[in-house]
Formats: sequence, C-alpha cells, structure tokens
Amino acid sequence: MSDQLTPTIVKNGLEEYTLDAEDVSKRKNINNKEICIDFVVESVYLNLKYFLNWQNVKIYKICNSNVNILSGLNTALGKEDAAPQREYVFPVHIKSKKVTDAILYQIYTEIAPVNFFHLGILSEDGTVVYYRVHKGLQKPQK
Amino acid sequence: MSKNNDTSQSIPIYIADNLPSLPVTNDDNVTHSDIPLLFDIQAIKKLRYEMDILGVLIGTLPSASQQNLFLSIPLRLMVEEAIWLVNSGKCYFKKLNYITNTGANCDDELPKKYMHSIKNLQDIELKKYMKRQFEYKYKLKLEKEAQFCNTKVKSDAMITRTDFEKHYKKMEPSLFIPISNTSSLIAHDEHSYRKYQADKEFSDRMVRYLYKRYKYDYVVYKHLREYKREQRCVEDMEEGKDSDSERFYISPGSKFGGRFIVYPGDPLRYHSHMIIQSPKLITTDNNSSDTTDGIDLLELVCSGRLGTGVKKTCVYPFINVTKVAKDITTDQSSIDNCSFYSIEWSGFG
Repeated sequence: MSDQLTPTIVKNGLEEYTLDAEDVSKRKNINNKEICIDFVVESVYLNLKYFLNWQNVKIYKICNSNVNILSGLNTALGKEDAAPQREYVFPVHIKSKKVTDAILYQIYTEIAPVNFFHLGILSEDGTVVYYRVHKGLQKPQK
Repeated sequence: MSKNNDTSQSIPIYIADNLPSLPVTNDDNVTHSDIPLLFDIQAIKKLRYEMDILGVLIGTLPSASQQNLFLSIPLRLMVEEAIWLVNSGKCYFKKLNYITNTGANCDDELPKKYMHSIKNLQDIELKKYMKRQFEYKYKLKLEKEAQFCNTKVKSDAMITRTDFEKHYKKMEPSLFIPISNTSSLIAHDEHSYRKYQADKEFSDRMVRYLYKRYKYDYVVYKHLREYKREQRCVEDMEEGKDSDSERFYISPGSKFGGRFIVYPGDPLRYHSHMIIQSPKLITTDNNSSDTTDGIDLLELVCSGRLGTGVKKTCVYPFINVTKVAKDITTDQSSIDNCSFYSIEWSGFG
C-alpha cells in the first residue's frame, strides 16, 4: 500500500492515506504478502464506506510499523439525533494471529484518549464482523 | 508463608493430601488436592459476607444422592480462591482425613474401605430410624381406623412382621428422611494444640504445590479480586446501581465457556457482567521482543456472539510470564504483569 499511496498528514504517530476506487483497481501487481495485507484493509475500508455508510473514512498507518487502522464517522442506525462520533477500526483477517497484547497496547497509545476501537474481522467469504475492544474491564453496553 | 501465623484465628479449608491410592480420574491433571472444602456454616457465612467469596455447595445425602436441588455443606471453593485466602492469611489448609464413625483416624490405611464402613453404618442407622417412624405412623393409622369403626385398639399392641412386610412399601414414600446438620466426618476432628504445627506445615506445603499448578489462573484471579474501585465500570456508579461491595464477586465460568464469571455484587442480587477467558501468556526475553500467541479470532467471534446473547462482555487477560513469581513466597502484587481487554459485539456488521 505504502508504495502506491502517498501520506497526506503525519500527526501523533499516525500517517494518513486516502483511498478511492481508482486506487483499488490499480493494486494488482504487488507481491503476495503485500496483497494479503492490502486485501484485508481494503475490504474492511469498502465495507465501512459502502455497506455501513460511515462518513469520511480514512486509512492510517502507525509510524514505524505495519499496522493499519481505519477511522470514520459512525452513522449507525439509532444515532441520528446525536452527532456521529469518530471511531477507529483495526482491520484483521480471521485467520490472523497478530491480535496480541503488544499490538492492542500500541493502538490504544495512538488513538488516546479514545478508550475503545473496533476489530474489523474479515472472514474467507468476504463477510466483515465488528467487535468492540475496550481496555480494562468493561461492563456490557446494553 | 501466611501473613497471619496464628492458625487458631483463621478459617480451616479442608483439602485432601495428594493421595496416590485415591485417583479421581485416570487424568494426571486432576487430583484430590484440587478440591478445597469448607464444612463450617459460620466460616461459610464469614467468607460470603466479609470476603465476597461464594463457593458452591456440593453436599448431598448418601441415602438420596441423586437429589441435587437442596445441597448442603461442604462448600467447594475454586483452587485460585483457596490459594488467595491462604496466602492472605485469612484461611489455612487443613488435611482432610478419612475418619470412621468411632473417631479413629485411618489416614494411612485404606480410606476407601473406611468410607464404605461409614456408609454401611449410616445405612443401618437410617433403616432403624425409618422402622421406628413406620411403627409410629402405622399405630396412628390403626387408631384412626378404630375410631371410624368405633372399636378399640390396645395401646400395647405389637406390630407383627407380616404387618410390616405388608404395609411398609405402601407407607415408605410418606416417611421422612433425616438430614444431619453437622458433618460426622469433621465432628470427630480434634482441634488440639499438638496438631497446630503440623497444620501449619501442611498448609504451607499445599499452597506452594497448588500455586505451581495454578499460578497463571491465580494471577488473573488475584487481579480481579484486587481491581481498584476507581478502575471499575464508571456507569455502575453513575447509575447508583453499584453494590456496596468493594470488590467483584467471582465464580467458576464454565457455564458460560470461560475461566471465571464476574458479578458486580452478590449474585443473588446482580447478573454477572463479564466472562473471563483463560489467560494468554506473553514471554519477554532480554534478547528478543515480546512473543505471544494472539487471540484466536474465530474463538473471539464465538465468545462474542455468546456474550451478546447473555448480555456479558468477554474479557481476555494477557499475562507477562516473566513477571510472574515462580514461588508463592516471592509473589508480589504488581499491576504490570496482567492486562485485560473487554470484547463485545459492536452492534453492526
């Protein structure tokens, strides 16, 4: 991804990228590993933008690491009255083993003071499921 | 080991020594020492009201062992709970001996044989009691019949063997089965000063042995127990629904597919909020960076869905193995060897 996209902002350890439909179609000649990583980020990005209708979805890369996170304005149903909040999503493949303490800690450090993010888990059939991850012990929302 | 050396002040938790002659299963990972028991009602009360320890009542009757609705003493504790209680000086481990009804201690002999002898004695006593009860009720019945027919029954009339055989089966369901309210096993146990030192040695040995086997689960348990009130769910306190308790109540979590389940107050008043999963281990070497197995995401989705169904969050603890003490004597309370992440379904996607 990094060789095709140019960072526009570097702030608080997060590099921001923009992605549009043209970029997606271009990404076919990258080596296997790159495609694997890109595929997950891209699928979750498209799912957020076009299926869940999140607004202003952006891709960030944590500086000096391979960790990509997405963020956008959550316009989920039932929240029309309140202004949509910017929330973060960590895209990951269902077979991935990389959700470890170290990575979770790294993400929390970057997105502070927000104390939660979503895991966007992409499965083999293209389905994306979202799970909210809180730091520490948290009682259920509802 | 225990901070309170005076065992007379603390509560005895009965635990079997690791008897090779009494295997629970063929699995080497399960032994009799994994079952800490409490027999004293006052001690159970104290644990529940003062220390927020629940345990599970497991006692039933040899004569009606299939019933499991009204269970009584002993109270079974979780091993982690027992280690925590002993290590903090509130309790001590006491050897659970097998004692006959005559009070003779037969710890070193064949305990199974003596357990059978206890059962046989109890069965004989029960039969005698039931017969006496039958005789009393049968007489009442005869009197009623006589009253109805306007005849007289001799007060000293004997109940014959044929009467017994004929009517006992019919009346058996209405007879009352007595339940003793103290354990005959523990009633004979002596509390002499002489045993005091032996108890202490046994307790120290046992807590070291159990810590070795259960140290990671114990670390999670200890962190949950000592989780500060300020760190707890803010909404709980805002809603005013928080319990008076300073701590969480913790129960075994197998019924929700976790290691523990956590209640914000007494389970009789509150639903549980969290399912705690088995801890993930992190090893940090000086030479290399952190190595750890990540969370299995399929497992995460599975427990996340279950959590949504039962309105609980699913908590994954990570333990830094290098910061966990090898022996319980050097175990220090430190926050940095364990971290928790709570996971629930986002509500979309």
